[in-house]
Amino acid sequence: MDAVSINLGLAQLGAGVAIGFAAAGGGAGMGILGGYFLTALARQPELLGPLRTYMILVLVFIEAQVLYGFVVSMILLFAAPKH
Amino acid sequence: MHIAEEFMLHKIIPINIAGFDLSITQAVLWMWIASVIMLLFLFYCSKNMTVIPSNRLVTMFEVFVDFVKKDLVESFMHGQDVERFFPLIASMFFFILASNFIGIIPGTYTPTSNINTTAILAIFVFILYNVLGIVRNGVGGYLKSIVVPGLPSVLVPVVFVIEIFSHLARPLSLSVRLFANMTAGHIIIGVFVYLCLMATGAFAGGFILGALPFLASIGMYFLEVFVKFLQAVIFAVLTAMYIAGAVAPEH
Repeated sequence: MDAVSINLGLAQLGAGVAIGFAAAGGGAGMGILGGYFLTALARQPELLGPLRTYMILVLVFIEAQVLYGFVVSMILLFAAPKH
Repeated sequence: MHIAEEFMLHKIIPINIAGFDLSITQAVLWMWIASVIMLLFLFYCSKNMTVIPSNRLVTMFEVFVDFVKKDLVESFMHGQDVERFFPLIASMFFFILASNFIGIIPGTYTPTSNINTTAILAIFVFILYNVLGIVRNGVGGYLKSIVVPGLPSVLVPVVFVIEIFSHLARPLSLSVRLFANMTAGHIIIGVFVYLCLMATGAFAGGFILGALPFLASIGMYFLEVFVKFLQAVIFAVLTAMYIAGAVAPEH
């Protein structure tokens, strides 16, 4: 096995690991956020409007962190030197 | 790779001025088409303004404009600033909305799935809110407003350095968020369709297995429609938030 294919394989492995960990962290964050959102809603259902706005705002911030991992894996897959 | 070719730029009219590549690529072309469509809609709706909206299109755009004004601008700004910055933020919102939505038509190119488009929008917002902050508060006042008031004097330099870095990260996160959302959605739909084709071509009766990723791609398509709207809202919200934080730091 030559050095070229090892580097390419490591880059592809790194891409998978990057998006995997990013999605795991984002999933944990979204779970915590959703849980607290439902708890708050169960206590005060009349706050649905403002709470939903803030929840979606925070949800998008979490999602952005996952997408940074996605960008890194895309760079590893398509933009990294092949040898 | 098949999927990456979707995001390659092809020059339609090559233009080269003084070493700068100003070619008309398909991103530029579809950005113009999206802007023209959105402008025609907005002109039509502003010509047909009545107390009771006359048709569904006008009603839809009134809901959008009302949403941008009430929910996005007025929740961050007060008084005269609302009237002053509403046109800017509404233009941002409608431009990004049109650019995002032109990409759901198969065969088109989403202008915002190119980092250059989103980067120039984000850099524009960054320069704008810094200049506005300096014009309104003076250089000293603006630098002072970066640090949260009421800190112990030992912590002020440390917090100042951290805040400078957080300000520098803003255009980066603003551009990468929009770009990555648009790119990721298209890639995921592409991967599902690719899986469907692979399963269908693999063996006889593979289309039964291939139906599953096909249905998933339709589901992702609807999620994409939601995400495209949401990202336009988020960009407008963050623009309003940054400008409001720079011009009126006491709020």
